[in-house]
Amino acid sequence: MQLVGIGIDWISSERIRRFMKDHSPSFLERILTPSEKKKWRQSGRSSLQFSKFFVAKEAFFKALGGIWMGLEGFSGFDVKGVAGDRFQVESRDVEIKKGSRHEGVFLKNEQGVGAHVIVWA
Amino acid sequence: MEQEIFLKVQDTLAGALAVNAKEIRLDSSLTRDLGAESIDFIDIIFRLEKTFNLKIPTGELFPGNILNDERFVKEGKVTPEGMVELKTRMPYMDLDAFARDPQVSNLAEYFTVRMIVAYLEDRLAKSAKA
Repeated sequence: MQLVGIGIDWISSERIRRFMKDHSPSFLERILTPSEKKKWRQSGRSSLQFSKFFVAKEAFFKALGGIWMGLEGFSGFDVKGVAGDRFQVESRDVEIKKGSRHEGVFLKNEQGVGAHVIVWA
Repeated sequence: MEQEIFLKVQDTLAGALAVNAKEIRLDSSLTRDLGAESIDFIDIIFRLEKTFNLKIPTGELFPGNILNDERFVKEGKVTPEGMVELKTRMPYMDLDAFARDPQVSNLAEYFTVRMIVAYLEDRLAKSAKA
């Protein structure tokens, strides 16, 4: 087993609230996959849920080498298992190293939400 | 034309980044000088689309997925082939300085206000001709 990468990301509650206030749900949903849109709507479009999707993907990008993948990157990754503190990310379009596995964990407090991801092969 | 576009971009970035518009210059780096993070890039794209009434296709303003290609990035550095691809896809970016040490993790430092203005000038000129 070999470590491929680790990634960490954090977003403040204040920043995500400002972002959500400034853009309509139709804009915000551009960075979500169809299943994430459904979960987000079921959560009442909560800022916490949206934050989790965002930081999970960012941490995963960083674990893959720090490459920011733009809007298509965001909507090309599915964050699964968001309930609780652990999650997985499935790629819809982007090829990830064959045989690699990963695991992610959320961290949160009143100030914001973070995620860390480990990728190994 | 550039001045008019620059002033609009200045206001747009000031809103997205919560900075004083007077701090935003053409040569300002979004990350190094203005403190932009990843959520800010998305915020900027959305705001520019609204301000200029256009859609910014993925990969036109910021590189996006092209750097996920193994031909273009090796061991965290953009390859010569990757540099050619970047220059083709991102003609508004000044990549000469980046080319001296093409670490992917540093690329965002070269996203400047001038890059955004140049992109919008070109887009708006094309729209006017259409």
